[in-house]
Amino acid sequence: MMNRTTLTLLAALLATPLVAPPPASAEDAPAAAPAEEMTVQQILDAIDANMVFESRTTKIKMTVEGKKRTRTFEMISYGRGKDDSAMEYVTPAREKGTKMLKLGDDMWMYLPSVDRTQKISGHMLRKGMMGSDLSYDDMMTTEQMAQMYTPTLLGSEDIDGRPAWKIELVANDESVAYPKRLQWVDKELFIPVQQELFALSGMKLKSWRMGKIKEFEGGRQFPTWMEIVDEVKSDSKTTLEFGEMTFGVELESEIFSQRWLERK
Amino acid sequence: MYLLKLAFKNLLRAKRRALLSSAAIVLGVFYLIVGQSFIAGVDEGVIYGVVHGTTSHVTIRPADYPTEGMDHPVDELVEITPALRSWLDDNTTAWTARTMFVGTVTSDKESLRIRVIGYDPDTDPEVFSHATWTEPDPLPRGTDAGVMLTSGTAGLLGVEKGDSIVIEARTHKGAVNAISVPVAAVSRTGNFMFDNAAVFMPDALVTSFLRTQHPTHVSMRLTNRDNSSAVKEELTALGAGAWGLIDWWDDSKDLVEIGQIRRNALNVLVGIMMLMAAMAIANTILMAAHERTREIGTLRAMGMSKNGVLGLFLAEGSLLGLVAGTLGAVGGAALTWYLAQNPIDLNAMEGQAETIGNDVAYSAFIYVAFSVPIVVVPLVISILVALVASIYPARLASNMEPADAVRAE
Repeated sequence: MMNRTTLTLLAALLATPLVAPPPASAEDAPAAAPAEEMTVQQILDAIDANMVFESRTTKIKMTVEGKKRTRTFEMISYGRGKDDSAMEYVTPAREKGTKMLKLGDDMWMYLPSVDRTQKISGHMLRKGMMGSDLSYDDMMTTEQMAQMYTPTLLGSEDIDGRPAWKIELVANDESVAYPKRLQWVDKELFIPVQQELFALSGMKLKSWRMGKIKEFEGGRQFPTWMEIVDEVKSDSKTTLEFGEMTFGVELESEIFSQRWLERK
Repeated sequence: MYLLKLAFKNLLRAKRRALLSSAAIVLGVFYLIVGQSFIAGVDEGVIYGVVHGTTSHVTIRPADYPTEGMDHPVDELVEITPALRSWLDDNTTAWTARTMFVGTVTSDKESLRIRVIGYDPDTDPEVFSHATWTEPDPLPRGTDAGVMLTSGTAGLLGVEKGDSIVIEARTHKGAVNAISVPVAAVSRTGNFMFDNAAVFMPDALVTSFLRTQHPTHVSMRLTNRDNSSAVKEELTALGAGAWGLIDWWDDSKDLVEIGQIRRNALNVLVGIMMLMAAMAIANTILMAAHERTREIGTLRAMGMSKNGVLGLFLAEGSLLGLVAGTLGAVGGAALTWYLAQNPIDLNAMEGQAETIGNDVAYSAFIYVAFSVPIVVVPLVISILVALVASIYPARLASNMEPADAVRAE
C-alpha cells in the first residue's frame, strides 16, 4: 500500500498540467507579439501552447525529502490530450506495478499488493489522495482552468536573473481547489517558472519552481525539473525530474483502458 | 439436618481429597464469573464509546455517508429545517449538531491527517457525556478561542496548551483552506476514536473555516435507547430519503457480536472444567463409599434406610459443590467488584491503542460488569454439577446389603 507522501507526490505529478491553465485548444497559441505588448490572456495562451500536448511519454524521477528521510521513486508516465493520462511505478520495489489511469472525469488506481483496481469517484474526488494534499478532483480540472481563474498582470520581476511576468490568478468560485495563485512566467520561454498556491484564508500553502527548460519538437519549451515546497509543513520538499520526454508519439490505445491497469 | 451434619463431618474426614476434587469447581466458578463479567464489561465499553462518543442513540447523516475508515466528506450536509428542529425538540431528551471532517494538522514538529469534530459547546455535553474527559467543560467556543486537542494527538504533534497549530482542509465547496489556531485545551476523552487523532473545533469556527451553513451530523438522546429503531423509521419518513440514519446498535453490533463469540467460547471452556470437576467429585464420593462400606453396613443395621444412605452421599457431594462453588464465587465476585470500581485503562497499556486503532468508537476504560446473576448462576451450576455427579456413587452405596457391608474387609 502506498503511503501518504508517495501519493501526495503522485497527485502532484498528475496535476502537473494545473501549473498552466489550458486554452480552448492548443492551436490557439498566440501570434508572436513583442513580449512587453502582450495581454495577460495572450501570455496564458502562450503558456498553454507549451504545456498542453496531444500525447507525451516520459520517465519521472521523484525525490521526496521529509524531516526524517528522503525517498526516491521512478515512474513512467503517458499523456493523451488534456483528459487522459496513465502512470506506472517502476521503483522502489514496494511500489512497483502500482498504476493510475485517468480517462476524462473517471479515475482508477491499481494496487498490485492486493491485485485490485479501485475506482476513485464521488466524494472521494475531493478527498486528498490517501491522505495527500491534492485531491483526485485536482487532476480532473485541467480543461476548466481557463474558466476557473481571473488573471491579473501584476508586473515584472527577475527570477534567477531572467525577466518574468508576475500574474495573479483568482478563482471565480469556491469550488476551485486553490482560491489564489501567483505565477511568474518567463518572458522569453512562456513557461511558469515559479508559482505560489494560497488557501481561502490567504495562507500560502505551496511554492513551485520549474527549471531545466528544454526545447522539444516544434519549438515547444517544457520544464524538465520541478521543485515543490510545502510552506505549512517544515522541511518538506519534492523534486521531479523528467527524462526521455517525447511529445507527439503514437501511444498504444490499450494504455488508456482499464485492461492496461491489471496487465502484468 | 442430621444427614447434613453427618455429611459435613464425613467431608472433613478426608480434607485433602475433598479440597483437590473441588479445585476444578473453584476455578471453574471463578473463571466463569470473571470471564462473563469481563465480556459484559467489554460489550458495555463498546456501547458506551458509541453512545457517548460518536452516535448517541440516533444520528442523522447525509445519505450514502461512508461507513468505514477515516472518511468524513463535507460536500453533503444535514439541513436542520424548522420541521426537523421541531421534531427533535418534541421527541428527544437532548440533541446536538456536529460537523466531522478530515484535515491535516501541522505543528512545528509534525504533520498529521486527523479527524476534526465541530461541536456546539452548549448542547454537545448534553448528548455526548464528557465525564471521562480529563479536562472537561467548558470547551472553547467562538471563532477566536482556539481548539481542543485530544491528549494523544497533542503528544504526536509535540504541542501543549497555548501553542499554535495549522489546520488545513477542503471547504464544503471544495477549496483548500488553512488557518492557524491556538490550542486552547488538551484533554483525554477516553474514546479510542478520538484520543490519538482528533481535534475538537467550536461550531462557529467550523462554519467560517469550511464555509458551511449546516452540520454533517445531528445526534440525539432518547428517553430509552431501545426505541432507536422506531425513531429511525419516523425520521426516515420525515427526511424523505435525504438522510442516512444510524443508531447505537448499528454502530456497535459488530463488536458486540464478537463478544458473543467470546462468551460462547468461555462457556465451552468452563463446561469442560465442570465436567472434569464432576468426574473428580464422582470419584471422590465413590472412594468414600468403598472406604466406608462397613460403616454403611453399620448404619443400615442400626436402622438407616436405603434412602437415608442415598441422601447422605448426595448431601456430601452437594456440600462439596456448595463449598467449592462458594469459594470460587466469593473470589470471582471480589475481583469483579474491584474491577467494576477500578476500570482497566487500555490507554495505559502499551500497544493497546495501536491495536484498536482510530476507527472504533471504543471506550478506553473497561468497567467490568458486576451483577448478582453473573455470580449466583455459576454457584447454582456448581451445586447441581456436584449433586448430579454424586448420584451414581450414592446409589451404589445405598444398594449395599447390610450383612455384606458389615462383613466387608
